[in-house]
Order: sequence, then structure tokens, then C-alpha cells
Amino acid sequence: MGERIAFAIAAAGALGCAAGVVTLSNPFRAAVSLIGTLLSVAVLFLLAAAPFAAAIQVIVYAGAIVVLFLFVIAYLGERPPRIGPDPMGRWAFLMATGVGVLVALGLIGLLRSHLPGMRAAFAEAGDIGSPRAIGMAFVDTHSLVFEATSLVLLIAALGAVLLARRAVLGERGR
Amino acid sequence: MSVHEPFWLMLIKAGLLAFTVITIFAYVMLWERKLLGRFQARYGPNRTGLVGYMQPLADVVKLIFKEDFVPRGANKVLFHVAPVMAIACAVTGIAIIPFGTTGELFGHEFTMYGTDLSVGVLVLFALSGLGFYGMILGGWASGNKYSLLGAARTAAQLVSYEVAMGLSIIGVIMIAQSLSLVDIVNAQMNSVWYILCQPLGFAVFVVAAVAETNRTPFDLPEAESELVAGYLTEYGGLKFAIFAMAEYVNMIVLSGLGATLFLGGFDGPWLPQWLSWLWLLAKIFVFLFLFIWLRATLPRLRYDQLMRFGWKVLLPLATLNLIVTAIVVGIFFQND
Repeated sequence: MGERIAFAIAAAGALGCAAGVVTLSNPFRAAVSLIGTLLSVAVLFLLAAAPFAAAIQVIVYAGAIVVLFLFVIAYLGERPPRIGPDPMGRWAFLMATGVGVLVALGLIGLLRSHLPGMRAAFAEAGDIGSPRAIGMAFVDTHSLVFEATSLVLLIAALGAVLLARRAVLGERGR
Repeated sequence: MSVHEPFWLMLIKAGLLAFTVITIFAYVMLWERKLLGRFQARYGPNRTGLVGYMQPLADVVKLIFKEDFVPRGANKVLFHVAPVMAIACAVTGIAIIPFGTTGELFGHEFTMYGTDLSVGVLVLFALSGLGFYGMILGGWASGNKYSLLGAARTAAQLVSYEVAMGLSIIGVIMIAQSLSLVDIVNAQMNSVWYILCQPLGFAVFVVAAVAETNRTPFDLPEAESELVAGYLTEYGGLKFAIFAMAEYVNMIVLSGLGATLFLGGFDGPWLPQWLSWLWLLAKIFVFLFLFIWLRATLPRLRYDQLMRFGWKVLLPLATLNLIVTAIVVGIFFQND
């Protein structure tokens, strides 16, 4: 029972804050709302017996990435809200229809699926969320994918350094 | 391994831990002022009560009766929430530091640590990352240019030094083969304190811990001479006191983490098992003295020096430590 209450609060928090992220006009408040979403999702991870994923979610996303968002937003400063009619206003009907269709599709998919715990009893997932299990999955089961990902990240880091170098050199030349 | 404790015992323990850490905070502040006085060849506070030991109480009473002030340009909600966020995350951290083994009380099993998590170290990092939001949001919500600059500096410093700090303790985790702080202390009891096999990791950890707590020489977010007081500029009275408390509680928690990871935690000779927490307390005070000593000795870094030091010195050193430790652990430790 306690788990269901916690799940309900965390799920409502995730959805509510996510709505805030896309509807709040002030970017700083939207970013703060994003922190709320990330924390709620971390709670959902905890409820799914994945403490490692929950901790990493908070450290990497809430602790580093949103901090960088806030850093940039704080430096750019507040912009006055744009006045005048919304140029996308005439498509509002089409957009609402599209979102409605997507929600309907999702609901149909959910109701027709056979996720564990939907109709039958909960299926025991075993140890998939502990640090040891995740580490074994990385270096044992999926080692090739893991190494390929690290290679891609290395290339991305090199590319970022090269691009930044070009920009710095260009500024010096001016 | 897991000990089942009754709920009321956990509640009492949580209350006692929070009370202890807040009391220690008050006296750490006093000792800092006394020690700074000695370092500068003067006395420091010695008038209130017996040789100045009632000074924290007098300060608290003074701060409570100050006007609770909110600037006109401030974002009201975030301005009030920010200090609460900072202190909540700081105090929660103490739950994870183990200060003894298991024992029995009135026929109930109990553990001398708040809680033993399988991802304990990571939870501390997550809490410290969230605690920084108190400063960033507080600085932004004040509606003041100096506060905003302080908040921006906090953000940059947090990201730069948390990476080095995380890498510096991975060596310990690899040797102990666990993320749980209780397991790490037990592993040190069976071998040696990890400062002996991780001296470089320890050095990087200490420097990064000073930067993470915004202490001199890394106190750029609240640099008085450049930014008035950074994110603290518009705060006064109790809210200011709460921010100060968060900073000092963070110091205590990080000292506890350092003592647990590198100095054997509550492990030590002579004392009986139920007094082992005295060892942890002594080690925490060694760290706190180091923090205060550094503050009395070193001037503040320039901003570019701070960034260059974090990314070009600390990070490579921590990475080197990580790689060497990984190779040694991979070759010499047998797999279980």
C-alpha cells in the first residue's frame, strides 16, 4: 500500500512538473520544474528496485546537466515575454488533434499489453538494479555495445575540443 | 547482514543524529572563530559565558530577532525555499556516515549508523549536488546582480570539482569492492586504512572537498571583496543563519565521508566497541581543523586559476590514480 501511495505521488509529480517544463514561459522556472521531474523519476526508479539508476539520475541529470542549463539561463538573463499573437496559433487545432491521437494510441497500447502486474501477479524481476548487476551487464553481457559507446563518446569529446579550438583560434585572429 | 530495527528506534536515532550534527555545527563555527583568532595572533570570542562558549547561543538569539527581509525584485517562493533546500540536503547526508557497529538496546537490535545503503557513496553525491541548488536558486531568486554572479560561479565550480571528487574516490570503491560505507569501513578493519594505498586519491579528495564546501581558497561564490557576499547578499536573519548552517553541516558530512573512506571511519584501537564513534569524531575534527587552517593560511584563487586547477591538475591526477588502481586491482585481487 505504501509503495502505491509513493508511486502515485511520484508519478503525479513527474507528470505535473513535466507539464510545467513545457508550459512555463520563464525559462528559469521551467528548468526548476525539470529538476522536479527528474527527482520524481528518481523516486520511480527507487520503487522499481533500481537504486543505482536513481542515484545516477540525480547526480548526472539533476546534479550536473540542469545546473549547466541554469548557468546558461542565468548568464543570458531574463528576456521580456514576446507580445502579439502566437504565429503558430492557426495550427492549434491540428496540434491538439495530434496530441489527442497520440494519447489515445498510448492508452490503447497500454490496455492491450500484458505488462507484468497489469492483470496477473507481479513477476519477480531478480537482481537487475544493483551496482553489481549493472556492472556485470556492462562488462560481461553487453561488453561490445559498452565499448562501442565509449568509442563514440571519445569521438564526440575530441570533436568538441576541435570545434572549440577552431572558435578560439578564430577569435584570436580577429 | 541487514538488521531489522523497530520504527521508533529509527526515529529516535534520526532525531539524535540531526540534533548532534546541528550542535556540532554551532561549536565548529565558534572554534573556527577562536582558531582564526589564534592564527592571527589575537584571542577570538571569549566574552560570552565561560571563555566564550555561550557565543553560538547568543548569535542564534540575535539572528532570530533580526528583521525577515525580502527584496522587492525577488522571486518570493524560491527565495524562501532555497535555504530550506540547502539545509535539508546537508543534514540528510549524515544518515549515511556509519559511526559504529551493530549492538543491542532493551532487547532490540540496533545499528550505529543512520542507514546502510548499497549505493551509499552515490547518495551522498546526489545530496551534495541537490544542496547546491539551494545556493543557485537563492542567488537567482534574490534579484540582485551580485547574487546572480555568485549563483553562476557556484554552478561552474560545482560541475568542475564534483567530477574530480567522484573520480578520486573510485579507487577506494574498487579496493573495497563496495559502494556501501559500512562495507568500506569493514574492509579497512580487515586490511589497512586506505590513505596508505590511496595517498593521491586522498589528496585530490581533500582539495575537491574544500572546493565543494565553498571554503577559502575556493570561496569564489561568496567572495566578499568582489561580490559583496555572492548568493548570500540579500539574505539576513534566520535565512542567512540557515545558509551558514548548511555550509558547516556540509563540511562536517564531507569530513565524515573523508574519515570513512580514507581514515578507517570509526575504526581505532583502545576504545570499547560502543565508544567507537569517538574515533570518528576525532577524525572529523582533524578534517575540520584542516579546513580552518587552510582558510587562515591561503588567499582566494582567481577565477581562471580555479577553473584551470580543477580541469588541468585535479582531473588528470584523479584519472591517473584511477587507472593505476584499476590495473593493480585487476592484476593482484582474486575474483570472488
